[in-house]
Amino acid sequence: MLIVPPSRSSTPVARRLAAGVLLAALVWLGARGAGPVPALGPLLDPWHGAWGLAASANLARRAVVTIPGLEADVRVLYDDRAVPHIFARTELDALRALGYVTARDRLFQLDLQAHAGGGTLTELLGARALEADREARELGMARAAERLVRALPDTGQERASMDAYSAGINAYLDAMPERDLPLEYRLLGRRPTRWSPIRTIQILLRMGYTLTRDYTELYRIRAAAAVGAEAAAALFPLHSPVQEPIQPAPGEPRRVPLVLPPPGAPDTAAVAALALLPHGPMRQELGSNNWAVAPARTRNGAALLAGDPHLDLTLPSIWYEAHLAVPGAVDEYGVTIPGLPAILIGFTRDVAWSFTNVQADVMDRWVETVDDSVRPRRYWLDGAWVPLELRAEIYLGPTGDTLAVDTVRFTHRGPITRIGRQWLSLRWTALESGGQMEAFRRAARARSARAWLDAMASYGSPPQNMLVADRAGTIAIRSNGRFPLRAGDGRGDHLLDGASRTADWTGDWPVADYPQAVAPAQGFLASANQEPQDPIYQRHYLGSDWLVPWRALRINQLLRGDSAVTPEAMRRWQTDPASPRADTFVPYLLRAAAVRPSDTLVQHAARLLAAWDRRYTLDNEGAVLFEAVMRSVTANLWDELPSDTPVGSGVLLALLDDPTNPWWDIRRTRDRLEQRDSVLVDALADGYESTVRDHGPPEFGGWRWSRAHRIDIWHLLHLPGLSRLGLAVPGGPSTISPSGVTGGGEGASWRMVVELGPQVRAWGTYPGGQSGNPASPRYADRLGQWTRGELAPLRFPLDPSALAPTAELLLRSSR
Amino acid sequence: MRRALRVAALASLTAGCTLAAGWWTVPLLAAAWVRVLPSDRRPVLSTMLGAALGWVALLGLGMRYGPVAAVAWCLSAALELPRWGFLAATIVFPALLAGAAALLVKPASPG
Repeated sequence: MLIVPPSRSSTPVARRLAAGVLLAALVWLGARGAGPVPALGPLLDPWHGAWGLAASANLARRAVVTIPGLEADVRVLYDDRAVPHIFARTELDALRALGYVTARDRLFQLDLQAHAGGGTLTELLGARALEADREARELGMARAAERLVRALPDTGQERASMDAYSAGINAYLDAMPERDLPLEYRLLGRRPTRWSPIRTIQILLRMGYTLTRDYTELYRIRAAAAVGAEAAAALFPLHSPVQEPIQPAPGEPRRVPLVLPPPGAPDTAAVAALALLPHGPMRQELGSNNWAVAPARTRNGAALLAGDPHLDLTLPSIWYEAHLAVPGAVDEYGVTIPGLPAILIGFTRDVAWSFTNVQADVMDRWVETVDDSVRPRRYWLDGAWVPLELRAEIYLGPTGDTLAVDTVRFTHRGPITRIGRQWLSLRWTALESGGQMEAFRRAARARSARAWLDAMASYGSPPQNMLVADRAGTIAIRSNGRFPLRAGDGRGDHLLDGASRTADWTGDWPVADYPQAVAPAQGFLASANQEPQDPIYQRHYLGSDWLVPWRALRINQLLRGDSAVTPEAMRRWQTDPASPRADTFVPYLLRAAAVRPSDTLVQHAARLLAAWDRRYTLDNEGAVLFEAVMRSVTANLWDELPSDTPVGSGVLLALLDDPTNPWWDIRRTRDRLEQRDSVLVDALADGYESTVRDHGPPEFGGWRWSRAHRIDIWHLLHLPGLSRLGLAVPGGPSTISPSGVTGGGEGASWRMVVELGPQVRAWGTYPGGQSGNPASPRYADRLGQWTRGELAPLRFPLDPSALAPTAELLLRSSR
Repeated sequence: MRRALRVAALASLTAGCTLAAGWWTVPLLAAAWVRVLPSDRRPVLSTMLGAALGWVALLGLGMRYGPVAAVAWCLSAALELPRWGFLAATIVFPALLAGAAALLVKPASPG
């Protein structure tokens, strides 16, 4: 081997130069990072850096922390599921402690959500979040948060609650050692923001944003741009074509007759609007469930309540579990959203409650006349020019640099934005509704279902189907929230004329008109995002964004069929794999197959579907074929519409009873006139072929639902390594525990069953864990239990001595 | 033996300085070490070893407070590195810092 000796003359200088360059590069990388690489020094430092995650991964067996402002010492006992049980002398102390322990476990999450609600994500994530922030601010969320926090009376209980909670979070921030800084901040090179009540309101606004978007209005415009307004109105009807409402009514379930006019000429106004509307957003046919059973129909003679809100599944989970105990005031257990000083879904010794989303229309738009089509300063109202409120929205980067400055304008209704040549103003109840935390605070003291509903009457946004049961055996439900009354035809699903105040909202629904039921004769109640009230009983327009009640049908079927319900049955039903949707559509497919008996492909598919038990269990092999067939049916049937305009399966059901309707004709086969049965038969053949193509022949095991259908639970920053991807779970489209055909990332974010007997018993879980620290054994420890559909007993001790804690935190008053 | 003692001493100093002031002390300490002890025949190698061992010692100390191995895996996953990638980076980074600093200030060899 030839070794070349180094050149003596050039070595020292060259070597020093190289060393200098290397050192400078390393120091730069260490201090500043480069591109996607974060600053390596503070990240790799084995004591102050990300390795510090180890120190906060487990709860200290016993810790004592002094918190300023506490009126008395607070004991926080953690149970074997890492749930904090907060025993305090005053309610405000309990909220201070809740803020502290939430920040300890979920600091980055609550900070991120508040930034999202306030339109300041750029301060955390940089310019890549600019569009999301612009949307939040153009919707008026930043201004609304400021106004809502100003409207809180300084001496009011709600203000005091928010201040106490903020103080708890800030006490944690002040005491947090550098090595406990969450990983996400290290990767982003950022620091947490201090908490204040406005950030709680920003999170509430973010909830409103997530839960009150009306997809049906958007789909109707897209459809009108393709097939005309008349057909669009029928494709996306005001009322659900299948009625199984929340408020029980005689004769349900029933079908509402639906006449579907043939595809017409594109509506020119819709075409113009379409170009300006966002592309892509599509509602997943998912949703939440809750149901309750009166004592007369339960085995143990105590009311039962179950709830499972369906939301985006993330790590850490959207929910944080806690128990607040204040003698003589509050003793409640349940889940809170980090950043909110209240238990949102849960139970006390006397009542239990859970929510589903109402899907109400609480956001309207008016076409405004303005004095300048580019930079308006005034708008025309009641025969005069009225000044617009102009607000400069400044978007800051992580280092405080200005990324952009926008002017957002407001009419007396709300924010006004330019859409094409038109300026549209928006009014949205979320921007005007405060008082939610106070409603929850009062409800936590209720001793009966009726008192609980009374306490929640002032709750405004986002509207929820609030189901409650009490220990005396009363069950009740109310679609609760602020619902506007409109002028004219009373509807809010079209553009309104902004030139006159006569087109403004005229008030709010009285609570007495809300869809509701208390102690119904049938002995049970259920909601699953379906239309809350049968149209024949509706006094006002509530919206049109209803999901087809497949889940409600199944829940009610189970409830009607069991007069001795147990908590175990409630748990089992939460992941029931049966599908009324499949029960409804498969017979149509099988009948259609009979018209083409000699087609071996069709007959093979029909035989497989006939043998299918119509359940979405993990080892089921029929669900994949059925979903492929249904995809083919809808693709051919709705081929006049853009692909991002999904027509509901309720309309498809109506069309199945109209076999010669022109909609059955497939546009691309100009020489043939298809009718219902030919489309269904072709779909059987297409579905079978595509399933074999995608998953192999049926006998090779590739059709198992667990192989074709996986869900993903992403970390909040979409880091694959911190996410849990490809989880096999039972359930599919429109089952009680629904998920998309190919999985997706939404599902039951919390499952709870409560029995309100002499001693309240409860079970629950969520997909994730209490800790936001990915190195903690509590980061995703409940995931296995959740995927198996199991629940854990929830410990609800009367006092500290009744709990065997795994860790204890004593929050000491500095007084 | 003497060299091993020197490396151990440098490792202790590296751990102490990092603990007290932070990562940026690593190259400063290495440079000072080379200047103070010019008799070391392989100062660059010694400082690299000392710095790396100093940080390994701190990791060992961290094991008393929590699951360091779990942190290693989780951080590697977050950064899409191989399973032990973050641990390797934690050992290599101070070694490179120290080595580069030592090379920069090392007295020229005679002859």
